[in-house]
Amino acid sequence: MIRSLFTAASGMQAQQLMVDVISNNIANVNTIGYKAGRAEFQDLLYQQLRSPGAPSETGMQVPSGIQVGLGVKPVAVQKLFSQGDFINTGNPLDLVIEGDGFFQLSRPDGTTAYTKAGTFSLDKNGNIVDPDGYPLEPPITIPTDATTITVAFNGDINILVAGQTAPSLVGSITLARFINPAGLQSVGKNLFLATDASGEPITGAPDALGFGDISQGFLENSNVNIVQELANLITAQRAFDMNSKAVQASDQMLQTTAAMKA
Amino acid sequence: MYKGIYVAMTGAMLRSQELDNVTQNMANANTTGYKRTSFSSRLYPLLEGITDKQNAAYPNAKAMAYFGQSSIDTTDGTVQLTENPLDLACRGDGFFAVQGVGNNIYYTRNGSFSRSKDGLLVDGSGEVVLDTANKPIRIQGSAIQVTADGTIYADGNNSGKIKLVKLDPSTVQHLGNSLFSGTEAGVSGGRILEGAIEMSNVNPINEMVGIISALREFEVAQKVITNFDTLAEKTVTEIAKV
Repeated sequence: MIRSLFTAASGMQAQQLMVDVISNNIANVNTIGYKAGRAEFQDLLYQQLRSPGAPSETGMQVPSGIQVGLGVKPVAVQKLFSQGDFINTGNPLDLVIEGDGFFQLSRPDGTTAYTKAGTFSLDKNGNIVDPDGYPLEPPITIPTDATTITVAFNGDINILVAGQTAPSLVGSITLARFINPAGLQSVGKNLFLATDASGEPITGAPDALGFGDISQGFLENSNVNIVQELANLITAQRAFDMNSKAVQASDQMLQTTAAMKA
Repeated sequence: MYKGIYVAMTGAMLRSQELDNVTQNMANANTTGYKRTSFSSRLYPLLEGITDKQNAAYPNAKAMAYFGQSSIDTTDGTVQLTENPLDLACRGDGFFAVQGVGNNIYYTRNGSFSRSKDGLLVDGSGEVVLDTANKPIRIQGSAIQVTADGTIYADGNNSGKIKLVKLDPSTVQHLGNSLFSGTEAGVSGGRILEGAIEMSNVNPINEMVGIISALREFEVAQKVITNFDTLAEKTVTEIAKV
């Protein structure tokens, strides 16, 4: 009977985690480049009270035994890398990847981070940087006398200098993709880091085989489906309620047992 | 002394096991691919327990005890769409076959798969998903499509066919970690739904009723035990007065 008390407690913890993940998704519904997460659960180990196939008291074989499970455990918060909605901004350094691939950013500690959020701007030296100031990897610098910046579908960045009519190429964006994007580590600030589970990054130009094209003047909104999140929230909250009822029932059983001996 | 007190005791113990069972189902209400276990119990006579002498003393009485058994309900759970191409929901009687450490083959209905860094199709705990020839499935390419019969296409190339097996229902057992053990009973006629996961098949109404009935029947059994206690007390105090 104490078993059911702890089983229900593990159930309540699991539903709590699910609510945490859903809340984070809903909070980030308007975060550019955010990818929705999903809490994944597995059943815990089972206690074998009576094995199936064992001989019964009358010598017959029992067709099914008694297995009592001991609860639930969270195994993963899986990121879903489906495409988010595109928002037209008209800003020349707002970029979106139509398909597979991440922008590469170099972090101050020398490591490379990956992002889907293409909100870029220029720093005082003309480097293309993300909102936290992390420069693109490989770095691309726009000369100060550039009047217009054009980003082609294949990542080539051309500028038009005042007084000239022919555009000149200043660099190309390189994208990275992963064989298992779900294995990437989220570190906040819309950034992901490569892990042993995600595999090594495969770099390439946009529009190359397996990579998406780049569109200028657009941003990728989060891929959170708010209707689905709310439906999941209801499921999680109700499951939490029901598990709490099981705790109460276990408590009541213990109480009845204790009251047996006056 | 009173045999009935032991019959009531086995009943009370079983009701608490039934509550354990119901609680397990409710704790896993949101576990992908979980199959609920149902618990049933019945009274069995304990024939060996009675000696000839007891039988002569209480000719009409039988020693009884409650026995329980749990069985796994493998009906389909509700499907939730996720748009993730490697989330596969199975409809019908099939199980996915996965291979863990030590080359043991397990079965699962949790089709929340992904690719390992080597490109192998793996389940949530990293066990390798097997194809129809019991080999791992390597997927190279980015555009992945899975057809209803389990054939995987990556960038249009056939990468293998996922094995779906039928299990002998009487041998299916929970192992935890979303895995089952069981004896294979041929190829399944089940279909695979791409971009969806199968929720648990736990029905909250059943489970709530299960809690109430387990709790109340437990209380009844306890009441019977206390009544036997009162009876014994009366025997000692009242009859001795005469």
